[in-house]
Amino acid sequence: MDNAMQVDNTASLAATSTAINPLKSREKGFCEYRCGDCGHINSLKLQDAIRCRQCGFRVLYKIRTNRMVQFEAR
Amino acid sequence: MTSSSHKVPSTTAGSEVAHLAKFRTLLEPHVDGFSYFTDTALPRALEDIGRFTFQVGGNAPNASEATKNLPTRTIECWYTEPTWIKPTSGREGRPFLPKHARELGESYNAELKLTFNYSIDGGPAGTFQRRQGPFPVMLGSSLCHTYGLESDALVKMGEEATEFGGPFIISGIERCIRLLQVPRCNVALAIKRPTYKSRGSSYSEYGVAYRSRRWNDDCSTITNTFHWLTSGSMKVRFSVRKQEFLVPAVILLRACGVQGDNEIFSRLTSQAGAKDSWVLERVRLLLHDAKQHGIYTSQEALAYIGARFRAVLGRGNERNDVQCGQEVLDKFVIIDQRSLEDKANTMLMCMRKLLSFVGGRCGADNADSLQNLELLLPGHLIATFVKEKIEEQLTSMRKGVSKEIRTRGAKALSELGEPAFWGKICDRYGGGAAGNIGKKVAHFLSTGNIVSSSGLDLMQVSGYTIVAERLNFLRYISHYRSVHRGQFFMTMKTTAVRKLLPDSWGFLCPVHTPDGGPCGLLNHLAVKCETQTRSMDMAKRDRVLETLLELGVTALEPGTTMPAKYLDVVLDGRVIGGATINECNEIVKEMRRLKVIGGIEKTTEVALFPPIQMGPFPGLFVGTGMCRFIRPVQHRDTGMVEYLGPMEQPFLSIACMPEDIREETTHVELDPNNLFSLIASCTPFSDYNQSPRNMYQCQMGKQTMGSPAHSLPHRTDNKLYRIQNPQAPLVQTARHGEFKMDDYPNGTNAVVAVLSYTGFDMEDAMILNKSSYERGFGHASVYKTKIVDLKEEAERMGSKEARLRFSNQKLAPPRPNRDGTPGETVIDGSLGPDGLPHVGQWVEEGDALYSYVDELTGKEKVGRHKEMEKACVQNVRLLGAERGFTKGGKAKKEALQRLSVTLRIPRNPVIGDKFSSRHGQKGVMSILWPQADMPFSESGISPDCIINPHAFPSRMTIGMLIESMAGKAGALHGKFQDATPFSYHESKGQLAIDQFGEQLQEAGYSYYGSEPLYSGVTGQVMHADLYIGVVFYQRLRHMVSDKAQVRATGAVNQLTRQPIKGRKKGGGIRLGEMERDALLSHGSAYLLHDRLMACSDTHVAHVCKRCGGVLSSQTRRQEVLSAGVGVENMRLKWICTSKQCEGKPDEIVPIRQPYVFKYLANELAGMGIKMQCKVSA
Repeated sequence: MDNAMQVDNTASLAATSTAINPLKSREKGFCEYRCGDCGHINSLKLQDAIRCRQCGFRVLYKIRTNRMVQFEAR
Repeated sequence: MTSSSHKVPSTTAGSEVAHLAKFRTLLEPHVDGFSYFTDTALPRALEDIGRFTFQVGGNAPNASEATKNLPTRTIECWYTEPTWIKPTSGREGRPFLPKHARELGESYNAELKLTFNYSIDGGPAGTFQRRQGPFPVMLGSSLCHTYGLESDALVKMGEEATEFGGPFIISGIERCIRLLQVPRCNVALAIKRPTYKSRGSSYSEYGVAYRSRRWNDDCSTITNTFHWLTSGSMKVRFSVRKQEFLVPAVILLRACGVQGDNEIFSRLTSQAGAKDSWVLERVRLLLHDAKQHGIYTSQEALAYIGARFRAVLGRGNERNDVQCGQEVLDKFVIIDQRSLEDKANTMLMCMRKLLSFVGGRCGADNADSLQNLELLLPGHLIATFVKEKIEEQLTSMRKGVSKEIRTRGAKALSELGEPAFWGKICDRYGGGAAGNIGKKVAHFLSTGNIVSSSGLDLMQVSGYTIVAERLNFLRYISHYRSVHRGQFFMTMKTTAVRKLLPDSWGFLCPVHTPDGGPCGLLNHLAVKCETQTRSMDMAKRDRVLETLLELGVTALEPGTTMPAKYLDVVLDGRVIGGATINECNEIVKEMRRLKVIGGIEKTTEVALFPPIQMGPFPGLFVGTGMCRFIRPVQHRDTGMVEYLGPMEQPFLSIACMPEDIREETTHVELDPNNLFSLIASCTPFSDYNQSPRNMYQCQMGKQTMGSPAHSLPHRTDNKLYRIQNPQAPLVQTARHGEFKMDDYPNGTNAVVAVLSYTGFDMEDAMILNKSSYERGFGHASVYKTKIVDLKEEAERMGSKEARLRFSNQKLAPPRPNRDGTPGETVIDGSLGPDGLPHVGQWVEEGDALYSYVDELTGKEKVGRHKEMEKACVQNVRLLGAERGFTKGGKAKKEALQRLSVTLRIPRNPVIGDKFSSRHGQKGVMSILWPQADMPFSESGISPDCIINPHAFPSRMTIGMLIESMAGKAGALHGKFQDATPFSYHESKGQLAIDQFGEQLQEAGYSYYGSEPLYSGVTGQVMHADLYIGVVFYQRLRHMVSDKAQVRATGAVNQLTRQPIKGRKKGGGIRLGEMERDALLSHGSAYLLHDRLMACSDTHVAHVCKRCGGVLSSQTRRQEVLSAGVGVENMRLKWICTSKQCEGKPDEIVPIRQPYVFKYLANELAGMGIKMQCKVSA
C-alpha cells in the first residue's frame, strides 16, 4: 500500500509530536494526549502515570496524527 | 389528492422529555426493579433477617473442655442501615460515570455499607460500619449518576440522548439480567403431574402448588406444594437449603392454631355443603390418618415440628422446640401471611382446592398460561440473592465467634465487648476487609450463574444474564423487553410450553419470538404491557380490603366457617371472607368502576372465577402485589382507561376494534397495535403479510447493520456495526414515529424492480445497481475494540511486577548493519515513539499495532494486526491504573500498562452479502450490475436493486408490495407514508392500495405501481408492465468476509493428521457421510479419494507382508541402503520387529493409507487386538 505509511523514521517522529513545539517534544521524549473527560492536552513522558494533569481522569486519547494518510480513491 | 386521515409519522413525535419518558416506561421492570432493591427490599431484608442470637462459653452447645468452666454469654449480632455511595473514582471522590467504566474496561460499581451491631447479654449495642465491597449498579437506577437526567445532561455525560438504563457494566461490557417467567405468587395452582407420584409410596399425581412471597415484600419466595396421598392424607412440601421436606398438612394446621378435629372438618367442608359425601368422606379419612401422630394441640404440633427442624435451622439450645416450630412456620410455610390465623386460612383454601381438584369438581390449572405466571425482575432477583448472602455472612460470623472462644478460651471471652474483636471477626469470617457481597453479585452478573445455598426458589442455576449487544437499536431495546420461560423448558421434549395461548393476548407479542430452539420460550413484552415493580403500599392495600368489605363481602372471623355456596374472596392469597356468586358479580362491577375513577388503585386486579364444572377453582381473587403484568384498555362504561391483568382478562369481553363491540362487551382495545412488541409494530403493513414473514422480520431487524449509538467515540464494544448512509424509511408505522426510531435509522430506501432480468436473481439473490453501490448504497463499517493489558501479559510470563511497558525504543543497543552503519534503535517505524499506533493510520495483516519492551530481559515485542482485513486506527486510549499508594502515602508512578485500540474496518457490500426488506424477504447480493445495463423506466429511473418475482407467490408478503407502492407515492409527493397495521380497511372506505394508487395516478404514474421498463442492454421496451417502487432495505450483518472458508492444506490434528475444524484456525469444512453418499451415487470415486485421502490424512505406511503388521515396521539407522544422496532420496532399510518375523528376511512394502488407520491399529493394539493387513501383489 501507500508509501506514505512507510516514511522514514525520523520524519515520523517529528510528525507525531504536536504542532505546538515539535522540536522540544521530540527531544525530551514527550508525547501529547487529550484527556477523555475534560479535553486538556497533556504531554507525558514514556514512564509517566496515565492521568490528566487538570482533572485527574484516567483515560487519555492519542491525538490524531499529522502525518499524511493516503486514501485509496477507488 | 385524497385527504387522508392518516398522520405523517415522522413528525408525530413529541418533545424530547416525553420521548425519554416513553423509553423509561418500557424499561421500568429493569430500572425501577433495581431501585426497589436498593431503597426498599434491602432494608426490609435486613429487618427480616433480624438478630442472630447464640451462646458461647460454658453452657454453649458446642463448648469444648477448655471453655466448660467459663461463664456463658449470650450474643446478639445483626445488620442495620444499608448506606450506598454512588460510583466514585479515586480518593478525590469525583463521580465515576458509566462512560468512564466503559472506556476504562472497568465495572460500574457503587459502595455498599452496612452497620454491624452486636450486643452481649442484652447490654448496649456496639456498632460499626462494614464495607460490603464494590457493588455493581444498574444504569439509570437511583444509584446511577444518570438517574432522572434529561437528554442534554445525558449527552454531556457521554451517554445517548435516550439513555434509559438497564444494563450493568461489568469489565467495560454491558450485561443485563433477563426477565424470567415464574409461577405467580400467592395463587394456588391445581397441578396434575406424574412426577409427583415418585415422592414416595401412596403419593398421587395430584397437587396444589402455592408460591408464596414474603409478606414484607423483600422479594424472597418459597413454594409450598400440597400433595394428595391415596391413603387420604395430605402433605405439604417445601425445601430448606435445597433439602425437601414433607410435613403432614394437618400437623401444620394444628400448629397454626386450628386444633380440633371438628374445627378442621367444618372449615374444610363448609363450602362443599353437607351433600357432597365424597368430600366429607375424604376429610374424615384425612383426620383419621392424622391420628397416628398423636398430636392434638397447637403446642404439641409446634414442638413436633421444631424438634425435627432444629438441626436444619442450625439452632442451638437458645430456643426451645416450640420456638423452633414457630420459626419453621414463619420462614417456610405460607410466608406471604404473617399471622397464624391467615396462614391457616390460606392452607385451608389450598386443601379445599386440592380436594375439589381430586374429586373432579374443578379442573387443573395450566401452569404455562400467563394467567398463572408473573415476572422475576432483575432487581428482585438480586434482592433475594443479597438477602441470602447477608444471612450466610452472619451465620459464618456466628460460627467464627464460637470458634474463637473455643480455641482461645477466657482471653477471647474477655475481648467480647471490644470493637476490635468484632472487626477481626468480620474480616476473618465475614468475607474479608472489603466485604464480599458486591463481589458475589459481580460474579453472578458476569457469568449468569447463581451460587446459592437455598436455591432461592429458582428453577435454574445459570443463564440469568446476557450481554446487551448494541448491534443496532432494535436489538438493544429488545434485550430489555424479552421474557424467557426458563432454561429448564429449553431441554423439554414436549412443546406444550411453547404454545401461543390466547391468555397472553396484549401482554406478550405473538409475532416477536425467534424460530428454532428458543421459539415460544423467549417472548417479548407487548409495547403497552407493564410490570409492577413494587407492591401497593399498605394504605392503598387496606383501602382495597375496606372497599371489598364495604361492597358486601362477608368477613371471615377467626374460628368461623363460610356458609355453603359462598365463594372465597381472596386478597393476595389471604382469604378475607366470602360472598355468593351474584354478590361477587356486583362487587366486581363496582370494583372496576372504582378502579377507573380512582376510588382504589388502578393497578388492582379483580379476577372472578365463576363456578363452572371442571373449570378453575371458583372464587374472587384480588391482586395488589408486585411482578404482575398489566396493560391498559378502555373501560366501556366510563370510557376511561383501565389496567387489566392476565388473570382477569380471560373472563372479560374485550372488543379488539370498535366494530367488534357486542352486548356483553365490557372493554375495548385502545389500539389494536398494542398487541405487538415495539419491534413487531415497526413492520409496515404487517397485517397484509403471512405471519411467519413478520416473525422473520423481527429477527432480521435485530441483525441489521444500523445505527447502534450516537456516542460512538465513547463506545468500546468489542464489535460495533455502523451503516454509513442511513435514511428514515419513507413508509413507517405510527409506533415508529412515536418512539422516534428515525433517531437510529437502520437502512436505506431503495428503488426496487421486481423482474427476472439476468439470471443473477435466482433463488433469492438480488442484483445491485453498481452505480448505486458507488453512490454509497449499503456502505458500512465495523468497529472493533481491543484491550492490551501488559500486566496480564507479564503475569502470563510468570512475574508479578510490571516489567513490561509500551515503547518504541529498543532497550539494548542495536547491532550495527552489515555495511557498518549504526542499527535501528526504533522497534517499528510505523508506530509512534510511545509504541502506540498513529490515530488515522491504516494497518494491514501483519502490520504493527503496538510495541513494548521487557525491562527484565531487555527484549522487545511487537503486537500485530492479525486479521486479514485492512483497518484504520480510529482511537487509541491510554488507560491509567487506579492509582496505588506507596507506604509513604505518595502516589505510585506507573508507566502505561493498559491500552485500548479501536479499529475501523470498512465493510462495503461485496458479492454474497445479505440484504433484506422489512417483510422477511432476505437475499444475497449476487452481482453489481452496471447502471448502463440496468432497465430504466420512462421517467429515466433505473432501479437500485432487482429482485426475482418468485419471491412473492409462496411467501405472500403483500405488505412488501404495498410498501413498494406507498414508498413510490411518498417519494413522488415528498412525504412520509403511514403504514400502521389495521389502519386501512374496507369498512373505513379506504383500501391501502386505492389510497396509494390514487396518489401514484395523481403524480402521473400507473395506478398499481407497475411501469413499462426498457432493457438497459438493447433499449427496447419490455413486453410486460413491471412492478417498480421504493422499498426500505436493511443490510444484515452476515457478510461473506466473515464466513468465507477455504483451504488446500493447512493445520491438522496432531493425533489423526486430519484437517482441524474452525474457520478461525484455517481449518476445513467436513465432508460428511451424506455428502459422501451423494458423491458415491454419482460414481465420482476419484473425487472422493481426493477429498477423503489426498486432501486429508494421506500417509505412506510400511506394512509387513508376512505378518500383516502396520505397527511392527521400523527403520534401522545403521543399514543405509544408499549413500551420498539427499534425505528425500535416501533409502532406509525397513525391518519388521514382530515376534514371528524376527530373524527372517524382510518383506516390508510401502502402502498409501489414511493416517487414522495407523491410529486405529494403535488403539486396537492397546486392547490386545492385532490388526493384520493382507497384502497381495
